[in-house]
Amino acid sequence: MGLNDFLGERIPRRKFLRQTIMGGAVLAGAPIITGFLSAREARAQEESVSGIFSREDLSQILREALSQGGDFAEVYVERIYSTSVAFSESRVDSVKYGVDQGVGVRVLKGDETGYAYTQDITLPAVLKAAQTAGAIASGPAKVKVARLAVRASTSFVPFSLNFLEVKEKEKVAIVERADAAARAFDPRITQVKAGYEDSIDSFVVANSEGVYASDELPMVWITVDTVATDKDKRRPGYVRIAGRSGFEFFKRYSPEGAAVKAAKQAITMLDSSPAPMGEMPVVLGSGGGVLFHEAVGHGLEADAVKRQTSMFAGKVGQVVGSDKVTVVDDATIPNLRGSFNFDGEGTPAQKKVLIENGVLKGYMNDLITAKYFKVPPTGNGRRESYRNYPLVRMTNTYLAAGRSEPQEIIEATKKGIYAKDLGGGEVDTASGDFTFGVREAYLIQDGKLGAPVLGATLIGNGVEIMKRIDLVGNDVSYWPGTCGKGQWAPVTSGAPTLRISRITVGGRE
Amino acid sequence: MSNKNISKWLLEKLVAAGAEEAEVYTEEGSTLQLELREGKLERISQAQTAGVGIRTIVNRKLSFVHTSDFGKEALAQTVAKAVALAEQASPSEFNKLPIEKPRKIVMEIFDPGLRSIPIKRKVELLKEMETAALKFDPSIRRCEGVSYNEVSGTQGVSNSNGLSYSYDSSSCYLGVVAIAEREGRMETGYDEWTSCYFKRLPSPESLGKEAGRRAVSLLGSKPVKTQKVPVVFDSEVGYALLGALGQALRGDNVNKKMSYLGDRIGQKVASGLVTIRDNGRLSLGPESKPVDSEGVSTTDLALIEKGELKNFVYDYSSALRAGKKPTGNAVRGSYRELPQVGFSNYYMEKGNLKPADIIKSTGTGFYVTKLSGWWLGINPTAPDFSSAASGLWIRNGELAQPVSGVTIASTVLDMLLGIDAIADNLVFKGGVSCPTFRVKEMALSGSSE
Repeated sequence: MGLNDFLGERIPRRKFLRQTIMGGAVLAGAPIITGFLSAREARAQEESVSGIFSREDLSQILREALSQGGDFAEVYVERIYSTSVAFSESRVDSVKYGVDQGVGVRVLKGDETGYAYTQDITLPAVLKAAQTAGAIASGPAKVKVARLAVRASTSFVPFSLNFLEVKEKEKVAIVERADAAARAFDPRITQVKAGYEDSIDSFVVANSEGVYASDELPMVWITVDTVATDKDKRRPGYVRIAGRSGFEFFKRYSPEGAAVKAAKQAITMLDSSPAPMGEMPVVLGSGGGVLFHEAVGHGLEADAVKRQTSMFAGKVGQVVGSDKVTVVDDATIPNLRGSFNFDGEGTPAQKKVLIENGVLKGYMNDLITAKYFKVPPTGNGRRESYRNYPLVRMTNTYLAAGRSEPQEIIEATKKGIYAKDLGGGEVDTASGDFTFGVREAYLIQDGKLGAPVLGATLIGNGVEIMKRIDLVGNDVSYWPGTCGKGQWAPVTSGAPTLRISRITVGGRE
Repeated sequence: MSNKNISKWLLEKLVAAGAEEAEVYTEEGSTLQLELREGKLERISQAQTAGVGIRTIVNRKLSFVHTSDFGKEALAQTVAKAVALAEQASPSEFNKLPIEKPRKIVMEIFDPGLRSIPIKRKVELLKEMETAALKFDPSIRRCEGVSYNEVSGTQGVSNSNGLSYSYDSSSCYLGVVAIAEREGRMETGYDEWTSCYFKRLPSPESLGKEAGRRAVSLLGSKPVKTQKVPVVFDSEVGYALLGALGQALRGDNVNKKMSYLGDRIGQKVASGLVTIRDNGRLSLGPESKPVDSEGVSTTDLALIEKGELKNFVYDYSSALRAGKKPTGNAVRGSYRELPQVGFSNYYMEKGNLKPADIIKSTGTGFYVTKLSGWWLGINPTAPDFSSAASGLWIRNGELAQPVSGVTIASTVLDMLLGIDAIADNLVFKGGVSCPTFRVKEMALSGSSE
């Protein structure tokens, strides 16, 4: 399972590889979707996603789904509009725009899940999908569909400027600004690629226990790739910014800021030498939450615990980290990439303390695992789209702030590495062995930052590394990513500046 | 309307609406996914899907739209949107679509009986696979991801230059992860296989056993100390080197001066033992296709031949820009994506050594059977390679204790130049394939002691 750019163990490895080779494809993965309506028409239709089927229709679909003896049925109706702009060599390569819509029906019978989906959003087609999903059971109908009661909505994802009402020209301007800023930063920046993607995802989910919830979630995602060239040397830089926000996102975050960061990274790395080899102290710069996503997050997803494929199974109440480690998963932080109002099963978004001062407090649950462990669901039942059944997934996962000033942490380190910017990561939840990538790093010598070193992988084992976190800063920030577990989920991982007293660095010098 | 008629209708409308050139890509088919746990079917997911993706060029500017709504009104709106959107892009003389005469090509890539094989039979395969893994050793307590996936359908591509192809294809996949446990520590091992034909899948028993063997072989693994050593890549993990290299072999990256191989055609970039090909026409290859996703004939292409860099892979537009012939390497994940430069059956040619002889001649070294995070740092611009690795230590030319908790690092170029042995065990079980090979030295980062 991996956070990032790419994905995890459960997608056929070679298919993953092909996607990897394809380059930006997977990175840009989920939301490149296009369509056809004018903004005004699209907006009108999009607002009526909950009007595609009446509550009576949904009840009929659920009854059909349970007609063969299922225990539980759920219907998920979704429409996603999106636009993307690909930009390189100071020109717009292409513009895409579109809509993806469909309905998924899930039926549970004992431990078994039947799932079917259709892109034909007519009642007969959905009833047929309900029948297919319902065939997981065989026998007469046993369960009655409860009256659907609308769940009151919350607002963790407020937004004002709907992308469907913003002209494409303004979206193109975002990447043009990024390109100009990166090139102006230094004449040694010889190539810039920038990508813009936005989407508006609206869904309705209803189940046989009477849950009826709807949500409307915007997303924006900008990437800047740079290449710095100096004589024979060539180095890449990469930055992305993202959030569940409308187009007003750019009032808070400038494309120029991201571009300058990407340009600076490539230029700095021109002078880098290979990273050192072996075990050493490593200070992670603020935003290095990918460590927690991989080292503990996946293992605290209750499906892995239920299957006994997590090293954290049966460890609630035990010490799994130093007393400086408090890890939280919180889907309610306004406008972060991993936030929402309802998860893909209609459970309200929540904040969960997973590890508190080193002690394991609990797991993340969806409806299936919550029932199994006899705990309330935590709003972690997420799905990539109507094509996918929900799985237990993280949202915004972070290490809570400590007391140290970031500068003090570096000063307290005699010799080691400062990992300023991290890439993605990957974990084997069974062994707990994880890997994460560093994009930009510096040597630390006698408490001072020294020469830049090339990126490298860092590896460790979940609990062991959590026990070696000995200094935690007060400057939490969040890194947007896309997590793969057979399907994609938008997430963030957060952390303040922190120190790991000893970890293996995969350098070559 | 049939897909062919929809395509024709769309192309006429697009041209009438002002498109210089236009392309309609259609997909229709069915998917089936099965997952087994502890002898019981845990999940089944099924769907029939259909969709259309449209590339439109107006004044040499490019747009892309897609829809799964085949209603006439929706399609008409799609056409209008496609033409209007193109105006927002920048013109490029290389925004052109291929011209090829339609012809009939027959390839063995479709199993017409696949869909009608009862689900029960497919579940049986999963049960046999899981049982074989569990029976392999008492330390194997459970399996994960015991799955069967199947896709079957028709792809069509037509454009306003008169190009028009359509073909049926199918793919089925079996995969399993075995989990071995000893003294509270779990290790995983997997195996998997992709084939166009159901009957060409290997016995599920062999996959289960292999996954079990891989998991058990890592029980008790520990780091070794930091050092520089020869590394033998098992045939299951060599794909990582090809994957990292692939970024730099993409013609579009070369055009944009983003590839570290860009100016090295004709030069020695690998040891003389190394030949790497991409063959879209490989007989029974899991990724074989008569034409690529923009309708250009696929080819059998030497990328590196006996160590010398020969070719890059191109789609139509990137080939035009480079002044080369297109190589039939436009790929797309689905109708919802623009085609981009990618690979088909991408592999390293086999050598003539036995894997066991490579181990024997290694003396002291590291035999890697599992990699994690190798993809984290890969980039077409810089050839750096760093990955977590597990496997077995080689002592006196024999496999010794299991190793994990270490990384191996080098650069893609140093690895290619450093390949000093290649085995004869090349098998095509997925899109990227490799025999076992040895790199004479890599940096292994492990424990301090």
